[in-house]
Amino acid sequence: MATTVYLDVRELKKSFAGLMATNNVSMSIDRGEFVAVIGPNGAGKTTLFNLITQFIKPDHGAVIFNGEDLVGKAAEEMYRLGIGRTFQLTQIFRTLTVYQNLSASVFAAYGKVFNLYTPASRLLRDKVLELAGEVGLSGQVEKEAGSLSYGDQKRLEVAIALSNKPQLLFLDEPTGGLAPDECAQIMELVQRLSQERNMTTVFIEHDMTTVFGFAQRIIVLNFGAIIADGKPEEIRKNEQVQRLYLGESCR
Amino acid sequence: MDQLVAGMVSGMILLIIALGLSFTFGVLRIVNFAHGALYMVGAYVTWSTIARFGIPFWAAAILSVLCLAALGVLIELVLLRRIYRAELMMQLLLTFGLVYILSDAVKFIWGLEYHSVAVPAPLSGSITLAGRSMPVYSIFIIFMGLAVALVLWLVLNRTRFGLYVRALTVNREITSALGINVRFISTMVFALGVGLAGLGGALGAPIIAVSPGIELIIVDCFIVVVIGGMGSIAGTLVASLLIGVVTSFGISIIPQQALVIPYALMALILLVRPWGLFGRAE
Amino acid sequence: MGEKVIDLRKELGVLLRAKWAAQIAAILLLLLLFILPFIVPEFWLFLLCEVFVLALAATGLSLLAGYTGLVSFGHAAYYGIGAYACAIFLTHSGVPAWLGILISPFVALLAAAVIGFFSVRLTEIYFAFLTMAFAQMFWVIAQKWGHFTGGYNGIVGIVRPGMIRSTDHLYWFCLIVVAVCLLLLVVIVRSPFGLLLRSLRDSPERVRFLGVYLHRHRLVCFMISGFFTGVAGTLGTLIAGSVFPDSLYIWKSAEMLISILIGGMYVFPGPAVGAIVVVVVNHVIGTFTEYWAFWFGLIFVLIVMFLPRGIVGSVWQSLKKQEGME
Repeated sequence: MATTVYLDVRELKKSFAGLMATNNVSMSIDRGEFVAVIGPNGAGKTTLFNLITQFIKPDHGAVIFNGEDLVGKAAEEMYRLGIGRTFQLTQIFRTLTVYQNLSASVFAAYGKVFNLYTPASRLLRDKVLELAGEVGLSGQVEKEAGSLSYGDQKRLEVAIALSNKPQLLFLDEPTGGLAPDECAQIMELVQRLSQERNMTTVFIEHDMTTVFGFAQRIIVLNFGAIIADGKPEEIRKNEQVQRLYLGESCR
Repeated sequence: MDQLVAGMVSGMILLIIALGLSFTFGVLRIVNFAHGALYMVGAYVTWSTIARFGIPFWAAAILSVLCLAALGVLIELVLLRRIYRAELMMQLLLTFGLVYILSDAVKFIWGLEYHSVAVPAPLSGSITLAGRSMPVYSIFIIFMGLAVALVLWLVLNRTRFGLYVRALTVNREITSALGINVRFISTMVFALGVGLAGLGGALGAPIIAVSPGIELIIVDCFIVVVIGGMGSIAGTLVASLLIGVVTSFGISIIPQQALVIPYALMALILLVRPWGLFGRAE
Repeated sequence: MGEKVIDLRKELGVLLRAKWAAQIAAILLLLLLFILPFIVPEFWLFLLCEVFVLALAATGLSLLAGYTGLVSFGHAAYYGIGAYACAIFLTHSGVPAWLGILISPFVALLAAAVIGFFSVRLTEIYFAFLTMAFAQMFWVIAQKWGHFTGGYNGIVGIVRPGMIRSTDHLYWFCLIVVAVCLLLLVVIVRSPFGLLLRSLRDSPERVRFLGVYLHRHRLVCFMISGFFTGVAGTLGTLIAGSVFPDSLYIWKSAEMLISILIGGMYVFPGPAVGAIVVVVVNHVIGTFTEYWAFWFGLIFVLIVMFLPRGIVGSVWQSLKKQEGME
């Protein structure tokens, strides 16, 4: 299979007030890979995501995606380029219904955000319901997002991140705070969608069961630098990594 | 030179009042729109106790501070307790309702006329300083303003109460978990802030007329607190003097446009450095 | 997975019925208001005009304050600019009356564009203070630019164009203009743009990752909001036949915010209902005592303390609870 490098991260560096949060990180990810990024708290995983998606500007380095360097672009441009992400603390629109959350995303995907006259509840209805169906929230579209169970909120966030049919998806702790069966459900959902669409997925995760259960490749971060990068079996045997982790379970 | 002194005097009065506002915000995160109205109450209390009971000025001033502090306790207990966790705008507008209540109450109790308070005898007259003749009271005010700022700083940084207040500012929950009575301290902080408004009202009475409408000083307080930085004593001091002096000079040089200057400065600071000259970015 | 999509709209008993009831009530109210000039004395018509104007001003503000979460403390600026523009067009200039009236809200729109451009970069308290500072600057300018604005004394003796000179005609004019404007605002609020505004309020971060530039949306919202409040100001001048610097002062901004808080910040009819309460309470109290501000302040404080969501907001919230949505 031709392996063209799809996401090429080169020598990313970032420091905050003298502290090196991201220390010369380089990695190459191919199309369709399902990669986990792990590391202890404070290792710089979320910062790495923020640097790649231009939520924070790197001090140095390049992020080549589909031939374009993302560094220097606005975070707002990521969506149009086909990149999606979720956040550690679910960023959904709490006072809006699930339907409204999804339709806001769909409107964004179809460039309708400055439409001042069409009733929002009727525009692109089929696309909104389709999106709801993809994550299994069809039965709850009229519920207020803030009142959803935590697991469903996570699903909603994944749905919003999928609204532009991204080719590259970043998930920041998609199973954070979930019960074991919910963890598996959401990961299976993401895995299935990735396979169906040949979507490249990179996810930050703390729960080792999830990581070893789903990842095709694992990147290990510590103090802002990559200390290991390879297939799950290799990582499992890696001494450095073993020292770092004493084996955590889901929550 | 006269303008400089006059500007410093009005700046100092503003300082005393604005310190109360800044302090309240810095600790309790409440922007008290009624602070100007409370200053007005202080001025009226000072005037009416002197006019009706003939007590000396210093006694009236102390009475004003105590009355206002008591009023502050009442307001905090009845009103503010309920809205600490509410949105900022709710707080702002609730205290705005207080403005309506207080300013009409003042009109009801004391009428609509202008009143004035005589400069207390020991402080009247003028002395010659640096070759110019200056009212003694002006010098007294400048001294008082600096004294109040200094005392407030000392209280905050050198007393146990101040320590608790600073702890509360940083983290309310943990301070409470340490066994410190956070509610009591909050009430005291607010009372102190309002007391300062009362002090400003008393000290300002001989200089500024005692009449309906003086509650509008709240707008100047906002300007000072924004420019200086909310919760900063040094900032409030610098900003008050700045506003006082600039306005004073402005009025004598370009009387028509001078009043725009404070607002323009406020807008400028907000655009360039929103947290004020001495504030901290949040 | 393929779950069956349940069309829950049919099952939304309480909420949907409430919305329909409100819409029908609004239409009936509109009809009633239309025929009022044949029934009630002139005084009532002027009172209602005041209500219409404040309702529009407050609803215009709530687009920015409630739906987008940017609480402007200086919205009197657009009210006042709309009011002054109308006054100046009708007196000084050689511009035909109706053209002047039509252009006035656009002057307010222009001011909103400029001020909004600077203001939307800030949030929360800083936004409130900056909008307040700008409004105060306009207030000072209005007082001092006597030659143009009449200074402290404002502009008086403004004569309305012939077609709306009589009270009845003025009333119908105000009613139609305000009704149309409110309708436009409803359309905007229910549009994708309106939805994005609320999304922006709830999670600016997420909205950025949907490719939406925050400042652009906020600025457009600011401008729309300023425009409609400017319309209210224009009507205000036509009703009163005069304009004073007061129209630009903090009390005016506060009046709009108070209406929003009394009626409810997050529901569309809230500000309008709040406006009714404000105007009616003030006039009613005003007939009994000159100390209306005291009672008004007291009522306002009590309402905010016990009904933090406002009158309409509290009703809507209890409906939602019945529905099991909260």
